[in-house]
Order: sequence, then C-alpha cells, then structure tokens
Amino acid sequence: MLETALLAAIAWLLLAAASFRFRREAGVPNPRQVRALRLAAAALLALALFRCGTPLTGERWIRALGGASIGAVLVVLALSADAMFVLRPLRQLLTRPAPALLRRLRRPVRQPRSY
Amino acid sequence: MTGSLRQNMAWIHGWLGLLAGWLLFAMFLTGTASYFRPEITRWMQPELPAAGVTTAQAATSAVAHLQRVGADDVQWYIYLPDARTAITRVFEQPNPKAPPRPRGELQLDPRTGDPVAARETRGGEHFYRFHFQLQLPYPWGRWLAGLCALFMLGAIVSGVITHKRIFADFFTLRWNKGQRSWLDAHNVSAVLALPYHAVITYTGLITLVVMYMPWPIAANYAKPIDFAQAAYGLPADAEASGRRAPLVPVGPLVAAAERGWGAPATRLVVRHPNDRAATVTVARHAGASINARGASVTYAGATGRVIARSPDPGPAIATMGVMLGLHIAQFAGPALRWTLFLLGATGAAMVGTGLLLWTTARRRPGAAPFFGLRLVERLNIAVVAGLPVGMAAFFLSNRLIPAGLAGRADLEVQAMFWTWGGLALVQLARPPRRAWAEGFALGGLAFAAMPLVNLLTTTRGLPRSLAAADWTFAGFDLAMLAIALLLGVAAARAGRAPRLPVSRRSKVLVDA
Repeated sequence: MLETALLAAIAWLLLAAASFRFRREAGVPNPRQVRALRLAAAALLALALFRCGTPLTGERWIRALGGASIGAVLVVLALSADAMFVLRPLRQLLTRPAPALLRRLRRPVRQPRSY
Repeated sequence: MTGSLRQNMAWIHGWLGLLAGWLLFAMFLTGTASYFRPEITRWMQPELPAAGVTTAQAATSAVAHLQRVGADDVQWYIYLPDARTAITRVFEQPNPKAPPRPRGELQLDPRTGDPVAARETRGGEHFYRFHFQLQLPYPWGRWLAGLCALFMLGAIVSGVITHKRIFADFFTLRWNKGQRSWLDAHNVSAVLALPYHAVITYTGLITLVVMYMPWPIAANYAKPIDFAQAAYGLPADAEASGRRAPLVPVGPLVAAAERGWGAPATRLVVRHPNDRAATVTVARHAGASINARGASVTYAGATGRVIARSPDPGPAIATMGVMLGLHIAQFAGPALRWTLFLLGATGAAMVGTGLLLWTTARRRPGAAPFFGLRLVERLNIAVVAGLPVGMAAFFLSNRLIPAGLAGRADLEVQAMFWTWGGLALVQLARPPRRAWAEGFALGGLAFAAMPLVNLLTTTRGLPRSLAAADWTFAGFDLAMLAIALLLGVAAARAGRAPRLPVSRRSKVLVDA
C-alpha cells in the first residue's frame, strides 16, 4: 500500500511539473518535455495499479484509488509549502547538460563537401 | 435559480452543503473513527487479554461455557475472536419455559471459555452506531443520516459541475489568502479524494436502502425473514424435536468450514442445543472478500453432517454485499485501513472547509455580520472544534470513571455529549476567533492527555506497549498524540490575527 501511494505521489509530482502552474518551478519550458512528463506519470500510475494486487478480487482498484488519492494530497500539501524545493530534483534532472554520448548523437553529422 | 447551469449548481451545492454540513461533519468524523472499531474497543477494555487461539478452540471453549450456564437455551450466538478482537462474545436466546436469570452479552476468554471481567463500555461501537443513528431513536436517526447522505451525494455532483477549473486548480493550494485559501483547501480535499467521497456516500446510502425503500419486499414477502431466507439462503428455523441428543464437538465443524472456504470463521449460531433437531451454522469472516456478506454452512448438531450451504448469491445480492463491504471495509488490512482512515479525515476536512468557506465568503470587512452569518459561525465552532473535544472526553472518561461502576458505559457516552454541548454553549461567550483557537487548544490538550492518563490508570501505557510490541495500544496512544499535534497547529493558526487585504495599488504606493 505504501508502495502504491509513493508511486502515485511521484506520478502526481510529474503531472504537477507538467502543469502550467508549476512549469517554471520545474524548469520545463519545452512542450516535448511536458508530453514526456505526462507519459511518464501515466506509466507510473499504471505501474501503481499493477503493483498493488492482493488475493481479494477487486481490492486492487480500491488500493490504487486510495493510494493515488493519498499521494495526490501529499503532493499538493508539499507543493503548497515550497514548490521550488519539492521540484528541485526534477528541475536538476531536466536542466542538466545531456551526457556526452547523447550530445554527439544529437549533433548534426557534417557531410564532406563535394566539389 | 435563473442563472447559468454552473451558477445554479453552485447555489445548490452551497445550500445542500450548509444544511447537512454539521451532521455530515459528525458522520464523517465518527465514521472515520469506526474504521478502528475493534481496536478502539480493545483500548477501552485494557483488562482483556490478547487473543492467541484458533477460532475452533474459541468456539469449543465458548460452547463448553454455554453448556454449563444455558444448556436449555433456544439459541446461542457466538462471535469468535480474530486478529483484531481479543475475546469471544456470546448471546443467549433463552428458553421461555426456563426460570428467568440475568442474561445479556457475555465476554469470554477464548482460551478457557470463562467470563472475563472487563470494564463496561460501548467502545468503538458507539462511534459506529452514532455515525448512522445520530443518537436518535430508531428509525429517525437512520432516516436523518440517509437524508444527509443524499444531500452529500447532491453536493458532490453539483460541486463537480460547479468547479470550472477542476484540472487547472488540481495542484493549487495557497495559504494565508483568506477566502481563496479556504476555497483551495475545500477543492483539494474534495477533488483529490473524490473517488473515496463518492463511493463512501453512495455505499452508505445503499447500505440502508432496504430500510429507506421497504416497499418491494413488503409487496412480495409476508415477513422480512422470508425475504432474508430467500435472498441469503438462510435455512428455515426448525422447531425443537423434544428428544435430547448431545451436541457434537463444534471445534471440528468450525475447522472443516474454514478448510472449505480457505478463510476464517467469524460467527457460530447454535439452534436448539442438545436436541435431536439442533443445528450449528458457521459463517465466514467478512475479511475474506470485499463482499461483506460471507458464506455460511449449516451442520446437524446431533450428527455433524452438513445439511445446508448458503447458495451463490445472485448479482443483486452480491452487488449489495460488495457495496456494504466497500463501506465498512472489513476486508482491509492495516495499511489499507490507515489509508481509508486518512481519506475519511480528508472527507471531514472537505465538509469542515466548506462550512468555513460559507462564512468567509459572506463576511465583509468593516461590516457587522448579519444574524445568519453569526449563527453559522457559532454552529461551525460548536461542531468543528467541539466534536473532537467531545470524542476526547469519551476516551478520557473511560479511564477516569471507576472500572467497576454500574452503568459506566452510559456515563461515558453522556460525558461525550455533555462536554460537546457544554463547549457549544461556552464558546458563545467568547469572540469567534478566540473561540476557534480555544476550542482547538482544548481538544489538543485533551488528546495529548490521553496517553498520560492511560499510563497512570492502567498497566498498558505507551512505554510498556512499545516494549511489548502491543501495536493496538501503542498505535492508539501515538494516534492520539498525532491528533493532539494537529489540533495544536490548528489552534495556533486560528489564534493568529487575519492579514488585512492589501490592494495592489496601495502596495505599489508603499513600495514607491
């Protein structure tokens, strides 16, 4: 149950970072990053649903909804206290320079001039 | 109501919430406490031993006791202990021909079957009953609770329609901004836990739907018991044959039933014990499924042969059972139960912030509050700040009233309502802001005092409970300290002078 609530809280945090209200604090100016954050959040919420199974039929949904609700309340309380601080790890992750290999891959390949 | 759909819904939302708000707050708070009904009862009876026997052993020892004291009874009801309940509870339905003797609920030691001497209390059952009966005679309390639940359902639907920026405001909670902050808090507590609020309200209504709408059953069945027999597959009550036959040992019957279900038993009903027509019905524990209406199996009491099994419920009965199960959450383990407890607290916060929002939205700076505003504000203080103090008085009186005093269970309940009522009156003599702060502070002190009073009056204080890993008692005391802290913070914030609103223009002038 704790795992469900934590996974859901991380998912809500990503969604909050992608929201118009907290984009600046999260350092997410790029629409592609917003989409990526939303996708990651959806994947985490799905993971929370699949990771909270119990022997009782149907309890999975109660756990997922309960955990997601508690996670959301915790995230909103934390954001209301200090959004910059809460979103700092995400901001650092998103704004740090890309690794050298990724930079090289992104760099346009220079074609030799043909005369 | 001639405005737009949203305006009309806002009007409906406001009035439904206001009219039922105080009762809904009390229902949410006591209902949330009821998630820990057995644990509260255990804390309120510190004399009782910890359980540690199988249900089959407990059933055997209880039947042995009942054979000694009521062998000629018509029926025995035996509620077996489980992971959350330490004792066996038994009720006897006496033989009308037998000489009268004092009967009632008996609490037995599951090991020995001997009656245990514990202080008389309503325990967690008090909050559970109050949250849908509201301490009113049957059926008025249940009808009133149903009406409030209906209002709540209407308020939920109208609130969702009213909330135009439901997604834009999803992560918005701004502190220290007066009405805006209360609106944010109301929205956050309502929207983020919306699935819980909707489910708990709807299932609460459905739980008592047979009482609210009895006509289909009345039109089709001569007696309610006929409906119960048809719907739940209860065997028809057989008459005693008048020929004596010893009752078979019930322990193996309970064990066999549990093996068949793969789940523990919770209840045993022995009808016409020691008669040739005796029956023993074993019911499955509600924790084995989300459906709160568990299966049962009936044995012949003279031979131990299976004579009836509850049939598979039809879709309607299964749906009803699941609704009930979702509401009372007996299936939930400790982690999910704490989650539901927190969500219930969110519900109380939603109703409380909604009530406060009503007054904040109508208060005008510099203008004298009109009568309705003053009335609502005083009722808000009486309920939101007063009820927690009343609940604390209920717990404290459990430890302070002598354990052997006759009628002490009623005195505990009276302590709660007298304290609550007294506080509701006393706060009228104080300015509203002071009354809020003092009410919360008193609640904080009362809850903080509980572990101390428990330590001084019993042998199961917090240090000893922690050392003995007795998590029921330790958890209760720690929860009381957490609630005290929460109320202390509320008192500190309520006591602060409100910031005067500063317009942007005057801010610019000051900065210049």
